[in-house]
Amino acid sequence: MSKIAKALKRAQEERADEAVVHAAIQQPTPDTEEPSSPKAKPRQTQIQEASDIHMERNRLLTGGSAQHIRDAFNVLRAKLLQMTREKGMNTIMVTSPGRQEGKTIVATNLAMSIARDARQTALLVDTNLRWPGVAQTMGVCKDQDSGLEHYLIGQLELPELLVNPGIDKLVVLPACQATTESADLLSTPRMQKLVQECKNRYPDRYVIFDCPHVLDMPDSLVFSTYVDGIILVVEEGKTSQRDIKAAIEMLGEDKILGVVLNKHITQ
Amino acid sequence: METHNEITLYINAFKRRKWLFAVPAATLFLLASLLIFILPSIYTSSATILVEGQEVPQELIQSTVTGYVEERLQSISQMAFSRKNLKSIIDRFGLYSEYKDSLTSEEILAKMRENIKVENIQADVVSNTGRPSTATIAFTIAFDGKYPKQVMQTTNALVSLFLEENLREREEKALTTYEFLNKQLDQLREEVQASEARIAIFKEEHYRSLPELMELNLQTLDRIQKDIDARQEMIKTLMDRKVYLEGQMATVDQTMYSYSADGSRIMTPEEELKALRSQYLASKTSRSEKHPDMIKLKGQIDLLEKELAARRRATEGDAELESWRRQLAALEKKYTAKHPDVINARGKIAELEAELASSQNSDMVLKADKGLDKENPAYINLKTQVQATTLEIRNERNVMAELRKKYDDYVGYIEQSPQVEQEYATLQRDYQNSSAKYQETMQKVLAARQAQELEKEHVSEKLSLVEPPVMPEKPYKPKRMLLVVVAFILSIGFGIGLVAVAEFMDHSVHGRDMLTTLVNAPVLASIPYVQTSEEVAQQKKHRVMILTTSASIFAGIVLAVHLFVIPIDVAFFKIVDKLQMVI
Repeated sequence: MSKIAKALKRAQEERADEAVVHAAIQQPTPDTEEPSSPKAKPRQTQIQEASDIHMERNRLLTGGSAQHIRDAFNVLRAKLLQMTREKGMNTIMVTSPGRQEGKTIVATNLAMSIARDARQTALLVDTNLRWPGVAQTMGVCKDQDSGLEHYLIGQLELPELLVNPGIDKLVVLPACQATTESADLLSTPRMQKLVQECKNRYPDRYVIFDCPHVLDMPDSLVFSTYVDGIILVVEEGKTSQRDIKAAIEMLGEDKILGVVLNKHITQ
Repeated sequence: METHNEITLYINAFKRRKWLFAVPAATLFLLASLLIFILPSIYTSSATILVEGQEVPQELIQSTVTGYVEERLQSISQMAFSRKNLKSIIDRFGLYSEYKDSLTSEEILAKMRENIKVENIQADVVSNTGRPSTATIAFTIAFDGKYPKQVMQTTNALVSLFLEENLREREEKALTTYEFLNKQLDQLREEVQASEARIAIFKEEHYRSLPELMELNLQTLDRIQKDIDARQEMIKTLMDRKVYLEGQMATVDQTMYSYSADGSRIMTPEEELKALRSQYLASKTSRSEKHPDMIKLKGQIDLLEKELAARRRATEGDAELESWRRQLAALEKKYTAKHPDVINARGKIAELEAELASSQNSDMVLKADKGLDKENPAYINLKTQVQATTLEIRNERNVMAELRKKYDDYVGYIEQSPQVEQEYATLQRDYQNSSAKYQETMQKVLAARQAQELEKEHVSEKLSLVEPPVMPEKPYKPKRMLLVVVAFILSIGFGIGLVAVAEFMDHSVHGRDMLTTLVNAPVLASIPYVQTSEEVAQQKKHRVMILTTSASIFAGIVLAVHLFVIPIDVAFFKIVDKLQMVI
């Protein structure tokens, strides 16, 4: 590890120490808030800070990340913010035509970039119930009983699930247990309610949903009706042109905000 | 712009798949290079043989060995490089000993034939007709092998075989031609002789009807006709004369001047016979036939009749004899004594003389003649003339009859002539054909004999060794540097091919531009691959490993070249020398 990276890491750790774990996640007045469930925990966002090493291993941006990668995410963020501000959107779904094309990394890094650099509050929701990855990537899933799936089956309420990964203005709603009934869960009224709740509760926040891939899975197709816009992630050298076209055709061109070319080989 | 984009696409694709290009291409190149340097060195030794033209001008003596040089060389090489000859060379020089256990003798022979090369050297020449053409003026015989000395010895042996085979074949061909023609000549001679015999027999059979005698026959016929006409004219004249003489004779009294001693007129036998007959008839009325007077008269009459008959015969015989004698004299002037007409005339004269002699010996004729001098001389003269004329007429008629017969014969000959001519022409044609063939073959035999002599004396077209085989100093193949260059080009091609195939098979999206053209939505960002520090470390490790491996392979190649091909220091100095030469 380079000296600069070490220094950045040390600075990060120091900041985490002082961190005021109370860092403040302002919660708006719950006008539409529903009564909490019997099992509801105190309405306090949990702070589960992941180390830089963990983040770096999971390809998340840290202070030591390469500048050109950070720049690429900054561009993505800037374009997204510009588009969403113009159109008044705040719920964005990140998906891809096929599996393992970098949806979670892009969604997570995008959310982190919005929170860190744009100083905009971002909520990252792991709606990939088949292969949940956000929690593991960010190192925030320490409790297997407090994931999105628990909200959808009515065991927990939204505030009880929110986690702060140690980054200001970033809140994560993880999914911790994989389920094969993902599509059913995503099409429940609870899901619709969750999206609506997020919109209502955090109107000035960007809510980013990390969704399963589009082709062969109905999950994202079902979920796409709840969100304002879609970002389609494609992997260079892997995603076929045919799949891209099929995915766009399935999701509908109107809702797609744009495409992100992942693992782009810099010439 | 479009082209620029395409080029960019190709460049990007190449960059994307640089390893797919580099690794197989480098591997292939290394393997090929190794193979090229392992390949055994092949030496070649060659000899040049000149095809020399005939020393004696072809206008004087034509060789019997003809045909295109290339064909002859091909046939000689087939015979010279026969299984037996090659086997003998293989055994003599110990060729292909390394293959003796693994290959059959046929396969070894096939290998040797592959290693023998006969190549024609051609040049532009002007042919006899004045047209420019290409002709083989020389050829080379080369042999490839692994060992220089063995290669030279083998080439030498092959050249000797070739030259010997050429001489042997030429002589054999010349002899065969001569013998064949000689045999043909014998057959033709027999044919000609048979034909001549047939013509001789035919001529003998149809001597008078032969076409070449046609003219003579016609002339003869004409002459006979003229003779006949002349004879006819003669007969007419003689007839006229006879009539005239008879008329004269009728006016002359037979007994006008013939009287006996007692003054009585002496009667001629005819008158006497006439008188006796009258007397006999008169006496017959009064006497019987048995009366002595009647018997006497009868006897006198018979005697007189006989006498007259004999006299008449004698007179006619004399005239005929005279006529034949004249004819013989005329014939002897024309022909030799052996001519059939002369012989015939002589025979006739002899016959008549014999007849006259016999008639003169007769008592009756002599007795009858005794009274002739008692007749009137004028009458007798006329009578004799009449008799002579009569004889002449008879003679002429006989001659004319013969002439007519002769004429008919010649007409027959002339009539037969066309048929004879046809058969004769057929025979002549056969004879002429046979004869012409015989003459022609005779010429050929003579030419073949000359050609045979030409081959024996070795003054006909011959093969001369102008460049004997020498021991090769360096291998002529494989051309390692050239092969390395080819291997390099092929490796590059192989790598490019792989990249092309990979690109063709790859339907995934590459680059922002492709994505932009593919979707209507904007491309929000191009995110590079986010590497972990472990991956970076792993990558470094890989690079070091690749460098180490490459260095090891290079060192291995250098070592292989040093051990198997050429010492490195020598190679280095050679390269330096060549570079200096280039500069």
